[in-house]
Amino acid sequence: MKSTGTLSVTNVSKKFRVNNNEIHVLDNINLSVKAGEFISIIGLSGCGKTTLLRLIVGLESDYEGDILLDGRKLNGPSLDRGIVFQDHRLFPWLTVEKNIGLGIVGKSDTEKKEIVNNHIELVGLKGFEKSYPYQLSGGMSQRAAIARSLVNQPEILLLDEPLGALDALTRMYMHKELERIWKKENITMIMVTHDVEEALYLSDKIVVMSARPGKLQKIIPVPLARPRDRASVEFAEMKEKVLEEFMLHTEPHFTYTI
Amino acid sequence: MLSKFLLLAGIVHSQKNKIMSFLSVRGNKYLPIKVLEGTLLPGTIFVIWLICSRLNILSKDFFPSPGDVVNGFHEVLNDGSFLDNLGMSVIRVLKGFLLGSTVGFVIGITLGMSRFLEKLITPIFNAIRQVPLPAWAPLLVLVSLGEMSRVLFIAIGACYPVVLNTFEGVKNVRNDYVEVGKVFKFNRVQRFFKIILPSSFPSTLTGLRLSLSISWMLVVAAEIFMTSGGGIGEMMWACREYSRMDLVVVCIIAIALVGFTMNFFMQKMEMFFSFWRLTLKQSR
Amino acid sequence: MNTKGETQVKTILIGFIVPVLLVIGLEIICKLEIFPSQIVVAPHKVLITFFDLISTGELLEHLRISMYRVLTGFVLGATLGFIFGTVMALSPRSERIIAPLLSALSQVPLFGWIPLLMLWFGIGETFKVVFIAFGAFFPMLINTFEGIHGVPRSYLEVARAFEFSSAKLLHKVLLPAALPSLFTGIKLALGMSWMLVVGAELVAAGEGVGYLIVWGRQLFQMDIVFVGIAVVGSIGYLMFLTLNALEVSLISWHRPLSKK
Ligand SMILES: Nc1ncnc2c1ncn2[C@@H]1O[C@H](COP(=O)(O)OP(=O)(O)OP(=O)(O)O)[C@@H](O)[C@H]1O
Ligand SMILES: [Mg+2]
Repeated sequence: MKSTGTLSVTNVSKKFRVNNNEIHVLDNINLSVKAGEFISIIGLSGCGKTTLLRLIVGLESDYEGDILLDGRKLNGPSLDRGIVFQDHRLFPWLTVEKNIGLGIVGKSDTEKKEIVNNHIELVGLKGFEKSYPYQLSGGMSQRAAIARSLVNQPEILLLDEPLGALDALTRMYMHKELERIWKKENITMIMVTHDVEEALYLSDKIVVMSARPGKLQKIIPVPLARPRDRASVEFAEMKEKVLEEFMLHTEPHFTYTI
Repeated sequence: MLSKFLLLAGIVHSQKNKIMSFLSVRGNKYLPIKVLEGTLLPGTIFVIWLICSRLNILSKDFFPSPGDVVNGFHEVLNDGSFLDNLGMSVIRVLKGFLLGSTVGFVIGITLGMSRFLEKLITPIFNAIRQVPLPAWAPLLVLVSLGEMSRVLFIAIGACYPVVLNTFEGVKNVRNDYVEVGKVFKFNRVQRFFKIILPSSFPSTLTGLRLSLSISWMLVVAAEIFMTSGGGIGEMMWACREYSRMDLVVVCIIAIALVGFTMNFFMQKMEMFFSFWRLTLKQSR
Repeated sequence: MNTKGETQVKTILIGFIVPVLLVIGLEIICKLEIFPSQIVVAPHKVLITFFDLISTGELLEHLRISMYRVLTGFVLGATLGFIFGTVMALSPRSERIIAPLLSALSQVPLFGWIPLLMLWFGIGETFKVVFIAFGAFFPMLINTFEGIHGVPRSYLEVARAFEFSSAKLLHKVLLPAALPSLFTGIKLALGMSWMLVVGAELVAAGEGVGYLIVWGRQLFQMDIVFVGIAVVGSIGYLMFLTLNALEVSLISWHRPLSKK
């Protein structure tokens, strides 16, 4: 078991200023993630999930509260935290292998080649090393993006709706892949998703967020044994539980807007 | 003479498909008709020209017959002056283009990367850009740098489009990509070489293409405004003084062809280096 | 809001740093007489020459003449470009017949026409006007063509649904929709005309701002050359700004109309 990759978020709030107006995006978020855990964050669109990930990865610096990784306070982005963006953000002018090798530093060329090859194998893109992003399907692009974020062996990997753009079947296949990668690399993962089944299949804990301002509504542990069976009764019960959590809060919201 | 023409026409005809696909003309079944329609007007003009010159309706000094033009071409080709001058112009344009576009590239990158320098330089750059290009010629003559004057004259015009397009390209680098660089802790140098340069390169190439075509226009101007350095423009100018209309026409056709060729290859290059802007659909 | 105004003022002030330093530097260099005065001339001398040329009325006379040439050539070339562009955009067959010839002609670098046109039209006004018209023709042609050709199909379908006549179609749908592109054409054409008048006056003229510059060169008077350069630059810029302002007012006038 790895001893690193423990994240603690305490009393974090985030405001954006737009034309002299303050938008309160995150309000008093408290979250602690153990090393090697898989956490999913679910919430309505616009509730601040991406913002929270951007805070953790260090792309936004102006916030209140503390974010500690292994007890150390964050200071900007760092190679011990990787991120897979909502859109894959592969550089369109580079081949798959160049994209994956993008972040490797302080390694000799042969070492670099080996790392890249290992990760290409890890995400199952063998044979596409020389392809350009425009020649890849959506799922392949996301896998390349995941490989790119893993090359520096981060302690914690943040995934922002990594499978959002994929069809249901490819997505189920990717769930297996993600679980395999998570186990193999043995790292902490925090994934944002809109898909309750996806969260249930993969996570140790599900974090439900509410909107305007974004708050932690509930943290639901998922004590099911792995590998999980989508068709099992326990799975269905858990799903009901999470959805209930959601509906309760969203019902009044919907009656207002529709 | 006629037999040579027929031979040439035969070769062109037999290679038509190859030529068409090389020029990437949209192929469809109406193409022959369309091409025919396209040759209608030039053909008519050509025939009228031929008939008029045969019947001596037009003064030879103003409207040389097609035969005169071909003979004139032979004459200057044989005494070597045509290719010499054309070569001089091409070398001159390359010098001016390289100088101007290099400087333009550096300025464009600098202005794109630094907010402060952008504010500092842009106003004066825009002010200078307003001066119509020919107006620089007398100034450069007065400074009397010889060949350098002509090269500088071309370089001034060559630099503007490169500055503007490079600047535009750097400014439009998607912040998404810059953020990827931040996550990987890129330093300024890495950010420049791994993100900004490749991402803005297609825009720079557009600038380079415009720049080369402006350079080619200006080399002719430079050789007319600042004579005594040789070149195809100066040759035209001299032909005008001797009222050799046939040779003027030869030169016009030559500069048009060279200009077209340059533009064509720059366009191909632009497409070649921008391939990654394709989407999956387009690539199939 | 206050801070926004302040930063704007600051931005403008920063823009003045380089010109001011340039002027001071040039003045110092001239005081020290490092270069002969025919190569570097003190900015204040340029200013004096400028006012001299204004007070004698010389400059304005040159400008008037150049202006007249530009406008004649521009109107001629742009009108023809507009007509050809419209015809080509409306009738695919006419496009196929005319386009190859025109695109062949447009391959000739503009200054390459000078010797030919001078042989045909002499060195007088006709030559200049035709030369300028040539330069104005192509940008206007291309932008008119693309403007009208690029009118969204949906507009045309509306027109067909209401059974517009061709005249009404042109007047009510095609021209307003193509207006931004037409303006681009006009701006490019006028800019080109202004460049070409200077070019034409460099090689064959006894008056006009281009000639003024050449004349200064012949007298080895750098100050006159600089006045000429500054004036043609400023006038070109003024024309551009005027057209921009016109464009903004015209197109915002058309927008509410097309929305109704
Ligand atoms: N840079 C910014 N400036 C101003 N407002 C912002 C900025 N980034 C995000 N916001 C606002 O913060 C809120 C949360 O945005 P965020 O992208 O975190 O939502 P999300 O939960 O990831 O939504 P989705 O599920 O659609 O991706 C939104 O209302 C958005 O308008
Ligand atoms: Mg998001």
